[in-house]
Amino acid sequence: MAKSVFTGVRISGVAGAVPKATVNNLTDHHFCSAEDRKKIVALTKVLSYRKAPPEICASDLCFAAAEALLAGLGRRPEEIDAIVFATITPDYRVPSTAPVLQHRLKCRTTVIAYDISMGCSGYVVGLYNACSLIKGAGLKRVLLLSGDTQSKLCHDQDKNVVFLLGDGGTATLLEADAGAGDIVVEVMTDGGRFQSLYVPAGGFRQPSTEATRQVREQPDGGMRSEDHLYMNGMEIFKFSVTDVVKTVADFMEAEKLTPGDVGHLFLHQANGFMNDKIARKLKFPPEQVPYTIEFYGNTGSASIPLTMAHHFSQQGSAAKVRCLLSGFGVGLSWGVATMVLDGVYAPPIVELA
Amino acid sequence: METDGTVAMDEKIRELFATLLQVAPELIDDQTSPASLERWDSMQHMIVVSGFEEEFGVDLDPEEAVEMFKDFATFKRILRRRMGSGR
Repeated sequence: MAKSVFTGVRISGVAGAVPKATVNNLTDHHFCSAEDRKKIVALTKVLSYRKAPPEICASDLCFAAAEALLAGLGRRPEEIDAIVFATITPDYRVPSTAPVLQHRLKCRTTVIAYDISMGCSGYVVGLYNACSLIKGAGLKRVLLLSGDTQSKLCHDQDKNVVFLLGDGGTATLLEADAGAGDIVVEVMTDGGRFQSLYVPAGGFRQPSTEATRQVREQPDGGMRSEDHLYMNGMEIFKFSVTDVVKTVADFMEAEKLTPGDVGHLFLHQANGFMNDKIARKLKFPPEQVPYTIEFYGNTGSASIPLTMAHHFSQQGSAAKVRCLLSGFGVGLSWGVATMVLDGVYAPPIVELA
Repeated sequence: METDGTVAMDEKIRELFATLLQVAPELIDDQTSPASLERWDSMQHMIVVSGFEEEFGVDLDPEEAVEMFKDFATFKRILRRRMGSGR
């Protein structure tokens, strides 16, 4: 069972970066009627999201977030021991993007740097890795970068995903600190359902060909090719409101947590309707569940830390607030984590043109 | 046994369902399913569920919302059960 308690790891800060370009779901996407756009926005709560131009990758957004974070915390790149980059939209098929970021950030060559190919659960899986590196391997500081440019995976007329998925990047600094409390993380995996949310072609199982690149209307009514992201919306909804809710509820029971003990529930920003259902099932009142989905959409592995960065940069970082985090998505992979954040540093969200 | 009240309620559900999906009510019968009606996709289903929640003042469980994505007969049955009308 992949549930671990990490004692003596502190989350010092979290920063986010998004592309400057905005897509407005009410006024863009003319392939859908105005009435449909209005209803979809009301349902999903995604009024707009940020879309990266071709030249901006997830790594660029994470790089900008990391620069803002390290500068604000007064940390130098050479103080970093590891870079963990959670993303499903790397710069290259080979190599991993984390080494590229090590060089760009001017970190030492003695760092360990690797990617985690995880989407919406990426931040929680990344936390598990970062904490393991500190507690298991004895490293002092780990830079967890978590971000995606999911808009590049979608066909721009696939009504199943194009209203939801936006782009964002984040950076979180985790440090060894004997005085820090517990970070408890649990991760779950069910690869039996991987085809509920995946890109069928373009990997080595099914390389991209002229045929796989052909865009056509699919049986679910979405316009896309085999090289684009496919989402079985109902399967993902079912997964999120049953498996994920059960895992979080069981985790809370095991950790003896009630909603009253938790300051903020940071959920992966999947869509408004679904997140409302999840929060209600877990008996969290809306004021304890910060949302950024209205203006950033679903940003994959960035969505939890981007919401944290936005929330703490706007509201200020309270001294000692217990947070509960849950990420869920491609894999299928999902996870939950809890920790007490104590004055976590969060600079304003960076906009990248 | 169907009463005038249940028949009227069935018709109201069918009409609201069609309105929310933006299709003609004549296209909807008990056998109508996401497979037979292209417009009834997962996104539209959530819009329909949300519309019924608002119109009838009910809060459907997520599991119910998933089960309702089978066919219109199931949709109706679950909704009526939730509304406490015994069918």
